[in-house]
Parts: sequence; structure tokens; C-alpha cells
Amino acid sequence: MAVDLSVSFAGVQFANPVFSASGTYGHGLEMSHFVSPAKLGALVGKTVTRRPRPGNAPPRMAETPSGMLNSIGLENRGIEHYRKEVLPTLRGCGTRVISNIGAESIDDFAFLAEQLDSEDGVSALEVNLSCPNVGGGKLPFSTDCRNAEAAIRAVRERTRKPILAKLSPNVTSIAEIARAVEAAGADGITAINTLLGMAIDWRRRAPMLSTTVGGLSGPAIKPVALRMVFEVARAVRIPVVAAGGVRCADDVAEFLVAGASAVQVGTWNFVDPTGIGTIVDDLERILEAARVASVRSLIGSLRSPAPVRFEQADALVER
Amino acid sequence: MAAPCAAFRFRGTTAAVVPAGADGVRLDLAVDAAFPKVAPSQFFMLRRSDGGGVLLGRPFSVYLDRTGANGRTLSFLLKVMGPGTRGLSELKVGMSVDLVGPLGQGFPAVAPGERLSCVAGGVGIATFPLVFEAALAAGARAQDLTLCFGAARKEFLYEVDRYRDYGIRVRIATDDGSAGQRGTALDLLREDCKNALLRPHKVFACGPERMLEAVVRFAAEERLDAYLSLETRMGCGTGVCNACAVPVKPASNGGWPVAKACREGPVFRACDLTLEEAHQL
Repeated sequence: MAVDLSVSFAGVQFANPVFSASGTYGHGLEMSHFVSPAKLGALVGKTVTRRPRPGNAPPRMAETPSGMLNSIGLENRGIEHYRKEVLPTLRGCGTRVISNIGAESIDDFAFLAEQLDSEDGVSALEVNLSCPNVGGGKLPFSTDCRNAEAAIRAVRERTRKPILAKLSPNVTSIAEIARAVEAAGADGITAINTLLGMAIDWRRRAPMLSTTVGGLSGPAIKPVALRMVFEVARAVRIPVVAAGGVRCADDVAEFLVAGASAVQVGTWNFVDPTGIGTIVDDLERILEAARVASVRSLIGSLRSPAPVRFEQADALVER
Repeated sequence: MAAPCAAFRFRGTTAAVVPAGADGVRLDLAVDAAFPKVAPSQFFMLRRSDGGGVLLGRPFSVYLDRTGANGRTLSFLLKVMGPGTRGLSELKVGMSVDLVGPLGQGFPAVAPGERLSCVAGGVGIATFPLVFEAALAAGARAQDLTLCFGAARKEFLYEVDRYRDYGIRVRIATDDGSAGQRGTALDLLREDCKNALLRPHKVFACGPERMLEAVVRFAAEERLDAYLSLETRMGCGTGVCNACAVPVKPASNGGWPVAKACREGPVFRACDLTLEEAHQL
């Protein structure tokens, strides 16, 4: 029995539900020597901004228990370089390309959407509303429903391509933000970006990152991501693309069951540059062993736990 | 755009863990890998296959690259600094290690007739055996190669006896005078530069950041052609995490002010580094 790994959403067909996560796999073919891009469901690029950004001062990274903090600051050479030098190299790469765009103003989001609308090689845009390492960690577009809505609306007005809104976990209710971007015309939601965190070298009385705080990623955040994907999937009708601490095929399956239509692999690419290929192979193997014919049948298939009543519980409370 | 990272990922088997100095080990890994001989100061990301209690691999330059009757062995010299290096130092013979590499750009070639001085501070020595072996193999005369090896105390002069076997000039300094002369590795280079017959054409340096800062300043004053092998915190080693940022003069780096230690480095020409940022190396 062959397992059907293909998924389809926002009008786009993907060979499998395993995508790279933005910022962990380069802009283009940087990792193609380790794993053929054709193996991935989609290649999600590192965030591109309107103008070049050199990024934050070092140190930009610190390992923490089962995870890592980063504060790269969206280092990239800008949209012009991306269109001229990067996108042409991705033609015929054998997989879907999703371009990730980031900005600090509504105007810049609109400009980037317009720039990429005519790029045939780009299957969808992922809008990074949630980088914690720019603008002093204030997250203006992902912690306020009106701002999130305005950004997605501006992108929607400038492109016919499918839009994924990438949301921050650093909010009281991610479901509210998800509903706002759905209303603004997003075709899907990517959840989650990194969690704000901090690490300290107490002997030096110094933070481990130049920016003091940064974004936490890796296996440490997987339970948080699962919970948020579950909440978002219940709150909106549009598909959810999961991200957060994935390191193996079982993790991918868990996110699908929680309600995701596809799953991104991020920090694990740093640990094992061939890992994303292994995950695709293993996903097919574990689904076949579990007699799951199509990966689509897993999406949102979570069963509610059976209710259990403790004996004489009411009597105890009344007393 | 950045070219694909052309490294390999494979598994090695611990062949030996040999204590080195007061706080280090030499880790010998048997590998079955068909890539060419590693260039001096190229590095690998090493991670215990069982994780060893940390998430990310750690970068180490190749100390020795030997092929013998039992196959190929890559050796790494490491100083125990934190949980990552501790886990690697506690490997037992037969345990497996995941390697990604060879990574990065090494030191430039040394032409026959050129005098080379290598300035090593503490565990920074790890990058130099391959430098001497490559230079000698390329026809350099042993008397044109000098090692200036400095450490705080003699027990941090890791495997210091190895270098006399190359026939090169070996000069030693320790901060407390417990071996060689009292002073620093840079003091030794300073002395050589006063003698026209010993003044090097090229200087290679690897060691703690204070030493490297001093080498950058000295090289600028003396107009020496110096190259540094830098150590930075790295996430991936393959050029995609952008953590290992090194501030450089844009003209040296395709117009971009930030270089990746893992791709454009770990070796940088001293004059290409941004001096006011050198304290952050």
C-alpha cells in the first residue's frame, strides 16, 4: 500500500506536507546538496524585506535546554536582490516555493506583495507578522488585531497569490488574531513563530544575546505550538500550517492530527541538515505501518478524550 | 545567492578519547568518508548521535586527518567549556558521533620560500597541525615555519611535543613562565619581527579573542599579512541560521558588512575585519 502524502490548500497542490520553516533553510538552494528540494512539500524562504538589512549585532544565538534563542534581526539583501539573484535559481527546483516577506510598515508589506505578484515561480506568500527581533520586540503586527488585519489587507490588495499569515505565540489569544487575518483575506495561517525568551550569563552579569531578548525555537516549544495550532484550527475555516519544534515524522503526524494541513521543519535543520528528507521518508513509513492511506485523513482528526467521572466526586465537593 | 553548502553528513565512531592538557581531550573518530583531505582550519559540526544532552552540534576545526591501515581517522582537540564539549569529552570508544563537514574556508596556501609564523593561544593550537603538514607537503622549508605557542600555564600547552617532529621552529611562552619564556604568543612574534631574517611574510593566528585583537592591532602597525581563524557561536555551520555573524569591511565581502564565520570564514584576513568591532570577535 502506497501512502498518499499529497496535500492541497489555498488552491495549491503540494507533494507532501513537510515544508522548511522560514529562516532555517536559506533563501534559495543553500541546502540542496544535503536534500533535493524536490523532496520537500515546499521550500519556504528566509524573510525578505524591502531594503537590505544587515541584521543585529553578535552574539545572535544561544542554546537553551532543548532549544535555542536567536536574534538574527532579519539579515537579508532586500527584495531587489532576491528577485534578481535568488528567485531565478529556484526555477525548476522541483518543489513549491513560498516567499516570506517582512516589514515594519503597512506600505512596505504592500510594496513587497506587489513586487512578488508577478513572479511566476512563487506559489504563495508567507507574511511574517511576527518576528520578535526587529523594532525592539514590540511585534506591532501580530499582537494587535487591527494592525494584523491592516497588514494582511494591504498584501491582499496587491497580490492574487495565496497568502499565509505567520502569527506570533506571544499573545493572549492567538485565535483572535487568526480570525482577524482570516477576515482580512488570508488564505492560510502559519503558527507559530518563536516565543520571546532570554538567557543570562550570571558570572558576566550579561545577557547571552546582544539584543537581551530573542526568539525561542526547537523541541522545547513543541507542546506550545501544538496547543496553538489546535486553537487556531478550531477558530478559523482557512488551513493552518504548523511550525514549532518538529524533529521527526511522529511530530509531523501530531500536528496534522491537531489540525494542521502542512508542517514546517525549522531548528532541526540546524541540528541535521539532512533531517527534513529523513522526516519525509519516515512519514510515509509510519503512516503505512499505521494503515493510513492518505495523509489528508489525519488533518484535524483529534478525538475528544472520553469523559471520566470520579466516583463520589460530588459528595466530596459538597462536604 | 549563496551557493549550496557542499559538505557531507555522516556518522563516525569514537576510536579514542585521549586526555590533553589540564582540561582537554583529543577525540579520534573513525570515519568512512571519501571527501578529499581537509584544508587547514576547515571544521566540522560534531554532535553525539545520542544527543549528549544538547541540541545543536558544536564546531571544531580538524586537528589531524590520517589515513592508515584501519581506515581514515579525523581527530579534534577540544577544551571542555560547557555541556556540549563535556558530552563529547565523555564519549566512550565505540560510541557514534554525527559529523557535518568539511565546512568553511581555511588558511591560504603558503608558497615555498615564504616565511610563516603561526600564533596559537591555548586550544587555538588545534587548527595548526594541518597548516604545517600542508605547507611542508607543498614544499615549504621547515626552518621557514615558526610556531609561537602561548598559554596561561604549561598545562594548557596541549600536546606541545607534537610540533618538534615537524622540524619547524617551535617557540613557547606562558603567562606565568611555567614553560618557555614568560609572556604571550604575540610577544614571541614581536621579537621575530625585529629580525629581518625571521620576520614572517604571513601570520596565521588562532586563540582567545583578546589575543586575536592584539594580533589584529600588531599586524596593522607592522603591516603584516595576517589571517585569523575565528571562533563564534554557531547554530548550523552550513550557512542558513545567520548566527555566526562577523562584522567585516563590505569591500572584502561582496559589498555586504556581515560575513558568516561558517561560510566566508572561519579564516579572515585581519585587514578585512572591522576594527572597532574587533572586541566582539
